[in-house]
Amino acid sequence: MLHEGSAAVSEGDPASADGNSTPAGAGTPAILKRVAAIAMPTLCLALSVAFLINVAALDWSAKGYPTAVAIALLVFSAGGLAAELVRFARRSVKAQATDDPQGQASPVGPARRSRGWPESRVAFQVAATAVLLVALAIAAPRAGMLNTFAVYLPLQMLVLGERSRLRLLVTDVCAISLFYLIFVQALNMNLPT
Amino acid sequence: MHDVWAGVGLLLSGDTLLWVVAGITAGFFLGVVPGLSGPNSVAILLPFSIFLSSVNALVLMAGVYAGSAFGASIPGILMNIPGNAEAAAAAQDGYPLTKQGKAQLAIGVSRMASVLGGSFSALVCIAIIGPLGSISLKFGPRELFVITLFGMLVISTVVGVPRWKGLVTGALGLVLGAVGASPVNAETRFTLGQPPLYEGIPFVAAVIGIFAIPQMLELIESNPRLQPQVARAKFRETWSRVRAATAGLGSYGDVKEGVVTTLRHRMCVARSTALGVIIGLIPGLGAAVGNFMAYALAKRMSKRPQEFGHGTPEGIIAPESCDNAITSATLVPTMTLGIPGGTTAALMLAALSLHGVQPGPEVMAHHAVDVYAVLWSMLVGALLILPLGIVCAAPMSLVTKVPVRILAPIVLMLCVVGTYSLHNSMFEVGVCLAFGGVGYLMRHAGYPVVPLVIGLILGPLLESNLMRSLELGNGSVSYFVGSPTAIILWAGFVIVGLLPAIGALRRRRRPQNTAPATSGTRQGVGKDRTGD
Repeated sequence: MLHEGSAAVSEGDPASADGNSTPAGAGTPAILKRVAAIAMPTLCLALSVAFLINVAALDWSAKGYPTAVAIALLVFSAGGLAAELVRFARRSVKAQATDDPQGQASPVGPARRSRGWPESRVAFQVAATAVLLVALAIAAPRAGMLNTFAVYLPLQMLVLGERSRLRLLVTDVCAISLFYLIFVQALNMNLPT
Repeated sequence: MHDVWAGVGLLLSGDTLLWVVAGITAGFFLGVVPGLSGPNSVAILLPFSIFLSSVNALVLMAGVYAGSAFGASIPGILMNIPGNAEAAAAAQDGYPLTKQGKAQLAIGVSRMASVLGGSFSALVCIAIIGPLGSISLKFGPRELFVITLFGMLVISTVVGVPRWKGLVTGALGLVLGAVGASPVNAETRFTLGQPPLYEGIPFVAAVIGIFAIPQMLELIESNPRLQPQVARAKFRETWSRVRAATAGLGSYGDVKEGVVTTLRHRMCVARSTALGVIIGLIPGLGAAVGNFMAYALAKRMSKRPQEFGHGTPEGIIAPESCDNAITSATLVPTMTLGIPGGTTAALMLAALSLHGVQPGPEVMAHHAVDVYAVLWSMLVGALLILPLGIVCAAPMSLVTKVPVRILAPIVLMLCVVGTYSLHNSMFEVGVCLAFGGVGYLMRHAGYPVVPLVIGLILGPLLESNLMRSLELGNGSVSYFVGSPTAIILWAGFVIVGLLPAIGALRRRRRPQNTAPATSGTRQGVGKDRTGD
């Protein structure tokens, strides 16, 4: 019951920053890594453009600095996105050339794949945790922090303690539904649409 | 000099000393748990310090900071599970000693090296922070602008692998730091119509979210319960390690031997402490790099380098004294210049700001006594760690057995409650969760979070200094190079900015020279492509 995977990830450790050199996030679904690789520079690019548009109408004294930093973000993230796309293109070419339909050259790697990492279970756990946290943030203002946590804590522990994939899915759905029923419906909260 | 002793008086007055002990103990406890050490422990406890007076809160956070550094090496030495990346260096020789049945000796060596490194470093910092503060007081807005920019560049390029990722997150941090009202005419920027954003993104909520939440999600991912075939074997292995470590502790006489052994290696302690102080004063390098540098230096200078990795005390002394020396030293640039020496120091910066102590050149003019009290508390903490470490080492190592399904929900709950308690604002809870999501994405894409946090904290400082410089220079850009100090700082900025490019050019030239022999027609093609 140890958390070895976490050891090298704190303090933004350079050695673990590539996500491959340590066991950190070893059970991470490969698709998530691929999505994250593209999503981050894309998000930054979109944010910088939105920021530039937002400050465009302001006075120079108010928009000079934000414009400069937003342009810096735009340039770096555009360069980063290009680099990621090139990397993906090269990897797919390499995978085809080496006849690697199983994606052995993927960031997950052959060793981890052969050990059968339960990617879907990890995805269920992480997704359920995220959903429960969001539900908590919605429910807490009406129900009160203590009441909300009285329900949240056992549910979250239940979700994280489950091992079987099918039971995990059922537990996730039940936990989230229960949370919804208790704190959203029962208290007649107006959910944002 | 008066302020130095006033700092001691402040530390000894009221219940301040108790908060140092509480901080050290809490930090030690959290530092033992892999995933909760270093910045995570400070981030989790930061909001709870808001209920204390500023001095008590600062010494509490300094205690947590120092305590987590002390605690992280214990599970590494006893079970080869370091609490963080920094503690991995000490485990290289600590765990072999434990396997030889000399766990208490290893603990004694580790604690004494920590005490010596931490206390010497604290004393050095107390001695230099005054003069450094006086120098920094002479800096005007243009010098502060260049220093801040310089710090951002160093941190972004050092922690980013590859460097562009560090630059992206650094720029992202600066952009997010620019959200809110302009310091010049209060025009709002990118507030999305949300009044709480008029004062900018609440950085404490952001910091808690970006450090603690992704860490917990990663713990969930590595949850051994998810791998049934591995889980039982791993549990048995761990339990046997814990039992072996606890049973192999032997008599407390071994601790004394460890203390004496450390004192016998005075030069190793002195070298590693000096290295730690230097590394701590340079923003961005961090303890993970420093500890391995100290380990390598000790190995090179040792008469018996072949014993390293097999349980030599020097292999524990070097990283432990360096690690604890770095802890105090990182606070010097953090407090005098407002530029954090590392990630945890960035959180200390947040703690200082939260309690009304604005880090930067003015800090020694307005809060010198508080600053000295914090540094003295680091010294007290370093001295406390010897008895605490020796008595609590073995029981605390069992904390690593806490299952993820219990640890993660509790920490997540503490994050949410802590964020909410800052200003009783659910908006801040939302910011915390949003930054948690962003942090999770960043970790999986290999983006360092440190530049983002530092950009977020330093962004407003950078902008206000830029605007003040432009005002003083009547809008002229030449004003930024109008003083010798500014010119030197700009030169440093350019050198640091160009170093990676020069390094890349050199690397590119090397394969070109050898290319005809190795890759034939692919001469001049980059390494990546030839590798394919």
